[in-house]
Amino acid sequence: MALQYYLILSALLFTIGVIGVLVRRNAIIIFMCIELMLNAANLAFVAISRNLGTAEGQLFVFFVMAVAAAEVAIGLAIIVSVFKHRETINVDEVNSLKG
Amino acid sequence: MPLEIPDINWSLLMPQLVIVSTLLIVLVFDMFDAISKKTLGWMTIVGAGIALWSSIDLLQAGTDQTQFNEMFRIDSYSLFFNIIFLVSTILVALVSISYLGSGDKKQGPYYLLILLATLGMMLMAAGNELIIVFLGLELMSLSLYVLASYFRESPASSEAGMKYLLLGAFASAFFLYGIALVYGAAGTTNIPEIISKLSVGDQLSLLSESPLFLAGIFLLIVGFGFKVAIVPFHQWAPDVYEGAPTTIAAFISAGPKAAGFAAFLTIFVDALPKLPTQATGVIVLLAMLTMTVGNVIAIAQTNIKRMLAYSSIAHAGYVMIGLAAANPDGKSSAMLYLFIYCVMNIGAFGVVIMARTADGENLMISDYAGLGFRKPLLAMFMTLMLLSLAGFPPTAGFVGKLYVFKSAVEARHYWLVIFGAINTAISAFYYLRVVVTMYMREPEEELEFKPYPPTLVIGLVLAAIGILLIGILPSLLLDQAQSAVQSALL
Amino acid sequence: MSPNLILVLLISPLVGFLINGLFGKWLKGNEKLSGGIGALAVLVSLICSISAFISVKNGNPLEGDAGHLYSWIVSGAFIAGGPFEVNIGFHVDALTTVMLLVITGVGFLIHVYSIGYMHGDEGYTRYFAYLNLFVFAMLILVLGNNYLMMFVGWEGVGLCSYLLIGFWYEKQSATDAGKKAFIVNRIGDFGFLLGMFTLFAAFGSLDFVSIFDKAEAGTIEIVFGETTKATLMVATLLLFVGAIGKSAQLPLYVWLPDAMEGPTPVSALIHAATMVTAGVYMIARSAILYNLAETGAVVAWIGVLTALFAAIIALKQNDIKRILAYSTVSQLGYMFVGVGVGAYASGIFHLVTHAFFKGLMFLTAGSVMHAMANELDIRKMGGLRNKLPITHATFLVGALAIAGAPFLSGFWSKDEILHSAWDSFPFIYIIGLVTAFLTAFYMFRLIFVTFYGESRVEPEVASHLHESPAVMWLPLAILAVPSALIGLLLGVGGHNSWFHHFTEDVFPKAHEASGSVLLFMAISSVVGIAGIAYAWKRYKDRAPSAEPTNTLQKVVANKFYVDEVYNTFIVQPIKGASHFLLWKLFDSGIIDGIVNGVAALIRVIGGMLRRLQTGIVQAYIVSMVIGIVLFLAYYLFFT
Repeated sequence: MALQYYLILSALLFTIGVIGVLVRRNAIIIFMCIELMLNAANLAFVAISRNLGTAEGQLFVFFVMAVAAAEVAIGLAIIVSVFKHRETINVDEVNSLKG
Repeated sequence: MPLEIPDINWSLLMPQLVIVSTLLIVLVFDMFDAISKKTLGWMTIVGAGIALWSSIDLLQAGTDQTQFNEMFRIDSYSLFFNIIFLVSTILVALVSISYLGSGDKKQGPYYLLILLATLGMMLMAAGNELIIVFLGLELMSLSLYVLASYFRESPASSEAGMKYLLLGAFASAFFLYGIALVYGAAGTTNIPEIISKLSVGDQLSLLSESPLFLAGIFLLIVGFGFKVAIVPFHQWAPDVYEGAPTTIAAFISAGPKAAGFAAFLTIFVDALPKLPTQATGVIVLLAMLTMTVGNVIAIAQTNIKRMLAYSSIAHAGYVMIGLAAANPDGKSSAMLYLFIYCVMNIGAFGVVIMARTADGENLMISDYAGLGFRKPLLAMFMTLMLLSLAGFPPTAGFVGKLYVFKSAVEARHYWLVIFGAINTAISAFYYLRVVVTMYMREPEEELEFKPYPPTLVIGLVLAAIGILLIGILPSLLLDQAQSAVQSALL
Repeated sequence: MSPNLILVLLISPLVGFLINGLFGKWLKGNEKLSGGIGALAVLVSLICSISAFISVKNGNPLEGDAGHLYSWIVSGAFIAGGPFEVNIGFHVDALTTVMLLVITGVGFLIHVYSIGYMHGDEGYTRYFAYLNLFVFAMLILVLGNNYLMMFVGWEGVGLCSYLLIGFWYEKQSATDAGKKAFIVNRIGDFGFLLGMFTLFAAFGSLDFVSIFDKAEAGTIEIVFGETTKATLMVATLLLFVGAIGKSAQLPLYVWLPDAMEGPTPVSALIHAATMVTAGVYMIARSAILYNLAETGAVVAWIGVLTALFAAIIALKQNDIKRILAYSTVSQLGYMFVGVGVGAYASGIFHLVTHAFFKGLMFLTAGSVMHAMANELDIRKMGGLRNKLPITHATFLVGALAIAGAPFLSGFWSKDEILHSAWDSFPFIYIIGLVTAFLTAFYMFRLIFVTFYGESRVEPEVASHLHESPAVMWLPLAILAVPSALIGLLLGVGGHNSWFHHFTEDVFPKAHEASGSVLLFMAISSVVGIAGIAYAWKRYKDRAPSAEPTNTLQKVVANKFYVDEVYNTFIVQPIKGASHFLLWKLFDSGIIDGIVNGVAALIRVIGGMLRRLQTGIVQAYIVSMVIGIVLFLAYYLFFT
């Protein structure tokens, strides 16, 4: 199958992720949408790698997955700490720093 | 297929290896309660000092090699940036030792994370491959997210951490997608290869007009733009600086910004001349927007940490001038500017830490009224740092701006220079306002300041000496930056 | 001579400043240490200066490339005219070493004197920090090998002078005087700056050596007028405006008498011996330019008129420090006559002798004030010679020297200047001679009223009258020796004297003055002695009358109403105009609309943009995405 289908799919996934980040208010859901964006990139990498016949892109995906996992660990910890202070993880209500 | 093990010259990796060993040592020693937590800070300083020394050593030896199958570059460019990062790390560690106090048990991870972030920055500067740059960026960012929310008991600190994390991860996704597109269009992630594919002989190649490639390049700008806080990707910066521990605000404003620019400059100074003109147009527009928005909002600030945050946004704009010039002079002047900026910005945050009372920090600019005569040393440091940030001779800030503007003149970006000059005038207004407040206003209430911690004073004295030395003897540093660029070109 | 020696010379007072400035809090309890550090820093410079002097005397100056330290700013094409380069380096020749010896020699003695004089002052360490900083700035001024460094030093000494005049900032008069000095000097500095720009435009450089070489070779870009000479005239006259401000000449002398609000040793060091002579130094340094431009006549005329004018004002003053201040203005006028008529060596020679005897007199005045509980009015003194024998003796030496009593230092230097003036400007000679008579008269009026006759000291003060401590009178005694003898040592033989030989490589050859040297000396002596005798006749046993008796006296006593004239015709109109015209109409309407309006506008915009920073993460993300979309659209579709 031609490369562009995969790229279009990945672009769609990425856009869905962006829209999710824009419209959802729950920090964890926002975080999940960001993961979706990362995975859209991963899809593009794998498809391009397959198309070019080089392994670089697939290797890249492994690194990205590791980074994403680390990001989730840190992200959840920080969100928990915010929750302890405010009893909410609604990003609209976490706005004491502004101006 | 036999597996090829690349030849690795470990001596070239000394700076990175020293940092890795230091962070392991800090990790191990943190487990012993008998060891004073201040010792960990000193270990960090010593480790960064050794790495600094070996970077300077390699730089003087004129090293110019790649390692790990051309993924990792040890040349004067990356070594010069190592010096910037390590100087920032040392200054921040010096400032931190007294800031955190000695009783706190949580200091081990603090220094560990600072070292990890430093390692990430060094990877970014040395990356010859987009993968390495991405990994370095993430290593640095993840450490910084934790550091920003380090004061768990403070709601502002957690909020700063969460905002930094969400926005940072969002920007990282764009950056990653940009890499994917560039990879798809160019077929490689090796930076010099990508740049060489942009032209065939003297002609520009098809690649330089491929929409896929151009979109990818633009997303890279977004990713870097977020890390170095250029408008409109800057909004995290003031909130994070205000909420994060002040030492970490100083750290985030210095090293990571330089690291972002390190990777930014490697790719774009060489690529811009080979891209369609509107790519340069985007950089020029971003530079103008960044300087102006940063300076204009800074005028309206009453909190000194926020003011410094907006000022640091504006300074990213000045560095962008050197980037937009896209010539060797622009590159070396941007490097010089980053070094100077890191020293003076950490210095300014250091003075903010110095002005602590028993109730905590005094962050309102009005709290500085009358300090000129009551706290002459503090006021002198602050005045020096602010004059340098505003770019008055004979401070380092003047030299930095002069050379950045000069490179833009050479590249015929006259409008950019005019914008820069106007912005310098605007910025003088809010920097001098603090100086005027210190010397000309009477305080509303007498504040009881804590005694100055010696390590903080040492750090500030070092920063002050650096600023004056570069201001009076600029060739000292500029020659290094220029030779660094020269060797990168050859 | 190695540049390292000069570096040590230069850095030492800076180190002193840093120690006293940074660690003042810890030094506060220990005055001896604080003052000792200050004095020691200058002593090191003095030793280096002597060593530099010996090298120069042995024909080993530090000039041109040897003195080059480094390039501050090197820029290929920053300015359209060509490469723009600013070099930092030293230029140490005979003229420089003479200045160095004066600055560090007199400076050291004044530092020592200050240890006693400032005893018990609140700002003891601050005082020594400023004083060291001043010496540092003054050294930069004379050591630099280009006009930029001279300007840096020029501004630096101005800053220190301003800080020290207003040293007792709780006193309103002191802050006012500081402000006045600051504003008047700005006018001069502006001239200096314009002169510097003109030189840069004409020569493409600010280095002394390259400017002077090009000037002599005639390779000058024409900036003003039609000829190179016109350009040089503009440049030299603009520089002279700077000198008028700094060296307190007509019409910008008004700040110097007020500057006496500062501590007395400061008046001695900054406002008599060193800083105010910077203008004379600058012209002597630029001798080649002034000779080519032939603007010396302007310098000489301004000088001699200032000398006369200030001497007349001094006749009727009753404040001991003000008399000395006007006398300084007057003597500076003589120096400008010297450099103006082309007798550069004579002008600098007078600078040296003046530094010694005027420094001495200020310090003795300080000693008198010390004894008299800071009384300044000479009408409340009288008969002090028995109580203050050392002060009296040293003051007498200084006064004799300035009055031109035969064989004392002032006699030789003043005579040389007048003699040189005679050939080209006989009229200047005559005015100079009249001024010399007036000088002898007002100085001895001061002496007789203060130290002789009946004591008019208030009983309460009289009971405390005492000679100053050794740390104060010792510098007086030491300064008295050169004040008396330096002329005999260096000045005997007129144009063949030691001093002229020493400086002959620096200055363009002055023409040999005609006429018998002895005759001129005889005339000067007679004039000086006549002045002293007349003062003796009038004031040997009576105080000056409290109120001036006729109109002329009244005018003189009120300093020709110059301050009032300036106030009425310059300060008030500017204030008035700015109030009614500018402030009411123009400023609040137009300037406000532009300057403040822009500032306010920026602030309002800033305040509005601030509101975009809502603190909500998603708002930030939205603006990021909008930014991405807009820029991406521009980037991909606007080709």
